[in-house]
Amino acid sequence: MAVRSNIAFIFKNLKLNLQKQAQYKTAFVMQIVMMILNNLTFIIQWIIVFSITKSIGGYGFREVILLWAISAGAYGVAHLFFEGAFHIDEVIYEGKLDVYLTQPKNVLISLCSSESRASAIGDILYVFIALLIIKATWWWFLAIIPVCLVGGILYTAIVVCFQNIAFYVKRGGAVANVVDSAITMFSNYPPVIFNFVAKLILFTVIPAGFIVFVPAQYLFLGFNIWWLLGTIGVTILITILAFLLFKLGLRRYNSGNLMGGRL
Amino acid sequence: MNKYFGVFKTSFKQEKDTLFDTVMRAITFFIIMYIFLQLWGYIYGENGTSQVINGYSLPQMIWYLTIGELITFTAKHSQITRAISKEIISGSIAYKLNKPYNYYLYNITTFMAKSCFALIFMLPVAVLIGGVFVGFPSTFVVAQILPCIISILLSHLLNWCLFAIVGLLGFWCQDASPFDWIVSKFLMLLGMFFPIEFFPSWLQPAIRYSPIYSIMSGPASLVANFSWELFGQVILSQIVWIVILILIGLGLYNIGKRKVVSNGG
Repeated sequence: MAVRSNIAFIFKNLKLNLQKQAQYKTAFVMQIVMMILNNLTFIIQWIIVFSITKSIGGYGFREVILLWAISAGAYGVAHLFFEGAFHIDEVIYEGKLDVYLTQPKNVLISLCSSESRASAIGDILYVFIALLIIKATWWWFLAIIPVCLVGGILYTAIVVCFQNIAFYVKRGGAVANVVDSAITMFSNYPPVIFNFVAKLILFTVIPAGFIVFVPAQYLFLGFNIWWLLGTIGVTILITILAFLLFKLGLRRYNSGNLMGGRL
Repeated sequence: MNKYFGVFKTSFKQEKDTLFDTVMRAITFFIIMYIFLQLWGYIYGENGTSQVINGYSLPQMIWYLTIGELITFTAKHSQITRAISKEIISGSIAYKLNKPYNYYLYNITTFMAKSCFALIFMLPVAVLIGGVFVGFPSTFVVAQILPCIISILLSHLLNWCLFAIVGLLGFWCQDASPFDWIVSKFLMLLGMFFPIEFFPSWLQPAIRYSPIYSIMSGPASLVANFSWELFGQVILSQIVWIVILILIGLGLYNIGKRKVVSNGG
């Protein structure tokens, strides 16, 4: 019941955030279109790379674009539904958390879903454009939806875990930004190019490997139920960890006595 | 000119507060370069490490990418676009119109100071990455250090001139960031990711005579494959583009600032 209520709350926030941004119609549409174009430019990058070499450890053009599609989808879901998670450090630093503390909803969910990035819609649309480009089979179009949702939640949870550093260190958000960049950068390249140490980090400290590599390798390009179940397990664990760390960090929070409200 | 030097000095001093962020950016820079090292190492490795692709050996390719990434990291273009757009949208630009400086040149100077501060930290990281992981290019000579640094600095100046113009587009549309994305992607795709020799021959002249070459490909190939002739070409193209873009920027600002009244100031 609580889960359903929170999901409804997230969607309500999303609706309000998008309505707010859609006031600037031109900017709103432009952000979406430009993000699609922005992502499409990387396809050209890979066309050039694959004009030099036929494959990278078994990964051809089709496989790499699949990685980019999953990565863009997870990124899009995270920034569309939970953009607030990427600014937790600013809210803490400026003492603006009071607004969320007084609301009758979970503070972290309320904070994370308080903002949405319009351009993330472009990322999500790009997922399907990318699949069309590589002439994906019909079930890839369906299967990628839960993959992106799970990936988006995991991505947000990892970022929240690191954003919590801001409760203890003045510029702690900078660490989270590095992790955020690392997740998006590592996820876009074939896993075969990384050595053992890099792979170990990608499946432990920064478990970005579960966002893109596992679904690509064990759902779309091959099948292994255990890896997929493992991904769901890791997502649940990291999400719980994010909530626990945030709750722990809240004890360190000092109000800025700032009068504020959310419109 | 003195006032801009004063602006530069003040902005440079202010950057000391961002030391932690700069160090974090250096770490991100290292991560990106690590990925590129792995990717290109794999591509060259599959085809034989001694192989030369389109005139570039593996060390040359890595040095090219390192300098391209260095410029991208130390000249974070979206900052200037966002700063100008924000001031235009909020109307706070009105407070700067009566100041005894040109708003366009003021922004370029401020962000140039930020770049110079970041370069102090990032340049050694870049040299370390290139030097430790792949060694110096076979064409490397000590005498190339100063010309390369001059070219990298001019590339930053040109970068700010270009993206300040993108920011000024905020006078006409509410948010200039979509234009920032597009221009920056052209820079990345046609400049940072690959040397000019990797593109089809019909496209190469278009890149060579564009600001993309002067900002990205020129200084990066200068470090990877230095020659005095190339240095002359790159510097000339950089100076020409700086003059052209400053003229366009000043013109655009003079036309655009008339629209500030409609914002209410």
